[in-house]
Amino acid sequence: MQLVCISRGEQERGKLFAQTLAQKLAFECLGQEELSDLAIQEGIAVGKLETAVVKKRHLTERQILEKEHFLAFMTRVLCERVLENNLVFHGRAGHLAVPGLTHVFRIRTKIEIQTHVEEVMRRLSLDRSKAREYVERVDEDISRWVRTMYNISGDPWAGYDLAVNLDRVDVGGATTALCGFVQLPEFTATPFSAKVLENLLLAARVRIALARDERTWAASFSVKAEAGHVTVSYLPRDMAVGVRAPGVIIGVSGVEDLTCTVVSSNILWVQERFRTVGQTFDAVVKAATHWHSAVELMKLTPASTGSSSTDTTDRVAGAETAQQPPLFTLRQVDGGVEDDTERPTGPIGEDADLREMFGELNARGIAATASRLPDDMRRIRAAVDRSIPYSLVVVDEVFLDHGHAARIRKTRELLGRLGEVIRAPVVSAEDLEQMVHTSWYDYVKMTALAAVVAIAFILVFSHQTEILEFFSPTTTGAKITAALVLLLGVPIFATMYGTLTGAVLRLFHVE
Amino acid sequence: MPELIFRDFIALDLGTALQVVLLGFIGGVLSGFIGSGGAFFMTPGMMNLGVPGVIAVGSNITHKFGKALMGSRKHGELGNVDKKLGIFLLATSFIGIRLAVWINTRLFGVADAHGGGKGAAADLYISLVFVCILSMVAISMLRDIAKSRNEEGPSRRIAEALGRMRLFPIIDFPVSDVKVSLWVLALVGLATGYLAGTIGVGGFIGVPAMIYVFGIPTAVATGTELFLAMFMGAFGALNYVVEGFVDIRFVMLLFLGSLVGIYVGTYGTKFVKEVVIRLVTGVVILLCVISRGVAIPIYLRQLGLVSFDEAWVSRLNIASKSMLFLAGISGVAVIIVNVAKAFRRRESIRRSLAETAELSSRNQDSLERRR
Repeated sequence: MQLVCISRGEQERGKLFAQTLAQKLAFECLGQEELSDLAIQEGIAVGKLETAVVKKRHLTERQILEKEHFLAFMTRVLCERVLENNLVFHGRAGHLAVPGLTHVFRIRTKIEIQTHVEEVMRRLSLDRSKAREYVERVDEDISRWVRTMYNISGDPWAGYDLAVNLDRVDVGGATTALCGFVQLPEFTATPFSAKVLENLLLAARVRIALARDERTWAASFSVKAEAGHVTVSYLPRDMAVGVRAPGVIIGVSGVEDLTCTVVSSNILWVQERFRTVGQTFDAVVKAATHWHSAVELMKLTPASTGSSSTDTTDRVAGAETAQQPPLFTLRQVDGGVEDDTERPTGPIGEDADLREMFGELNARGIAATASRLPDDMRRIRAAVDRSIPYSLVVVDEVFLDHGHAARIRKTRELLGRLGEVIRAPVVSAEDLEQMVHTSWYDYVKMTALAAVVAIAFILVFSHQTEILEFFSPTTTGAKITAALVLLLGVPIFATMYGTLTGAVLRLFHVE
Repeated sequence: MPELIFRDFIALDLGTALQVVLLGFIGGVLSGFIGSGGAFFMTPGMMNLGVPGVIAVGSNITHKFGKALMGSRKHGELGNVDKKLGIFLLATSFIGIRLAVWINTRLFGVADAHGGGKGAAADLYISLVFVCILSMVAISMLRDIAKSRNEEGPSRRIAEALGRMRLFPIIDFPVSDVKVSLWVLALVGLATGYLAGTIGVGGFIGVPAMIYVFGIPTAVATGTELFLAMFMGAFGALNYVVEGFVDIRFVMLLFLGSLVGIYVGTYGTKFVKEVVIRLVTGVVILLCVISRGVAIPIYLRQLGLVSFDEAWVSRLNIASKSMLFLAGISGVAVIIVNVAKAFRRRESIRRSLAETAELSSRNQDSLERRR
């Protein structure tokens, strides 16, 4: 059940490297091109999708659905093959198609540009300048493909375990050396990773079933699975199609429970102890309801406690059907080598608050996922899924075992770090309460703004002729004055009235 | 002809004021919904109320300046503004605006041999530019929808052809991930500025140009256009106010409706599919164009270029006005109906979830009691 993913671009030598490695390891070998052929057989318009990405076209709604279908298909193929056998996949950043699978060995092969140009000159019979242009364009296209397909904003070539310069080492020597690497415990499958693979496979099968069925193909779905419990979310605009999803998913083997949520985006709620009563809970529920968002819970555990001393990450995924109460499963990840023992389910121990909170949110139809992490900045940053569209991050009651000053400092640091990785406002619970609850101060502010706006209207409309005369200047001095008044007055009026309108409409849940 | 209160500014009664607020609201909803300015609806709407075209454009561009200020801030926070591109486009857009204001102001003074029909030449010129430009926009928008059914995104043929020509100097824009010739930038800036200054509609040229000619992502095109609109609006307002063509009463009344409408329109995008958004926009613009086309004979008559019975003037004006409001109200109705439908569906899902949770908790309680 081992998986080696080699990103080799269009290099022929990279292909040879992957095939030789697979042969020496006696692993199955699968290339990007074969995968694309299989996807075409599945009915996915891979060519059109590639053209749209390469030509920097704005993906149409249909192409976005094709993209989701293709990614699910890729995940399914990789998971199925890895569950059956060991696999070497070579192509474009294949490891990104199996997110959460920690034992993937990620290799990047590279060759110097001159060598690559000569290879292309030989292969395509091009002159040097054309071959160089071709190589640069292909590299750029591949980077764009990876960024578009996996929603990566940074360098698509970052995040590999090993980079091999095939100009410096020959394929035979490099692959022989790597055979030993593959046996390292970090890249060895465990029973736990089999469960992760099964979850990914189930989610992919569900997404493919939704893409294949004529009742649901026209909507965009996000699917997550955890030990048979499937969570499907879709956008408010896809509600008419989304409500048909349970009818399709019920036929997919392996699905035990199902949660369907309607979300525009996620709200990430980070806290050490969750309580289902209180102002923060009310504020988060209110924000999620108004913004059509799902709430993702991230429970931080103090690094000093035993449970997190070994870098644990627990994930809870809930599911609910018409007849059953919410069910929960946990999995534990322990750094490079996972702990395979599953934690008992049920509202006991330190996760009882997380379970209870997830259940409350699930009953309101706004639950996304829940996870537990040590309060380590690096781990928290790494755990954030950048492909999820977050609308807000709420941080409350963290670093509770620290002193007051240290808690404030670390909380501020956490807010800043999360702000760096998530393109959404990162706020404290107090800020959130101010955002969603209308306080007396807000009412006073609204009244004051309304009064100023009303006075402006009364002044203008009771002195129409004078005002019009002022804005019809004839002398240079009058022109400058009129221009200055207009340039200052219009933005001030627009800002005041815009703020007032926003505040009033928020009272009617239009945000 | 409406009664004048001061120079060329019309007197406002309650009915007219409410119509201006409604114009602002519909323009705002459409603007929030499609991410463009909404001037394509508000400028002809004001002209239908008897406001001289130059004052309608001057007031609209002033209104646009305040509105873009708020929208640009939001887009900036989301990283959708390519400031470098915006600055390059601004330089020539100012020349375009100045040229447009100069032409409009000169035409405004043109009258017939008897001194009548003042402003009609400017109205005719504004209407003709409006009809020509916006009919092209509407047709290409509707054609684009038909194409997108065949899974095609916005074409990059023009961008690629210009890229192949390599008209030096080429400027690199890392935020938008494009390289564009300085000459092309200058031309697009000039055209955008000229149209913003002439009819108050710059975004309909600026955004497609950025997408089709430069090949930049749609979100960045919209954000950058708002950034541009803020400065172009300020410069346009400055130019029109010194000529005495800004009616601040209209600006305030437009704000009254448009800033509410923008929230409603933006909210509507959550519930309506992109293809429907584009279809609604295309149809509304086309109807606005036809409505303006219907008003053109009135200006021709005022200039003495054609003659027909005076009764037809009011008939044509009513027809033009009704068509415009019909287009706007229908567009807004589509949005509001979709929002209402989505709300109902969501509430029914939420109710069923709450009932399920209650049932589950009751089942669990009875199970525990039995134990």
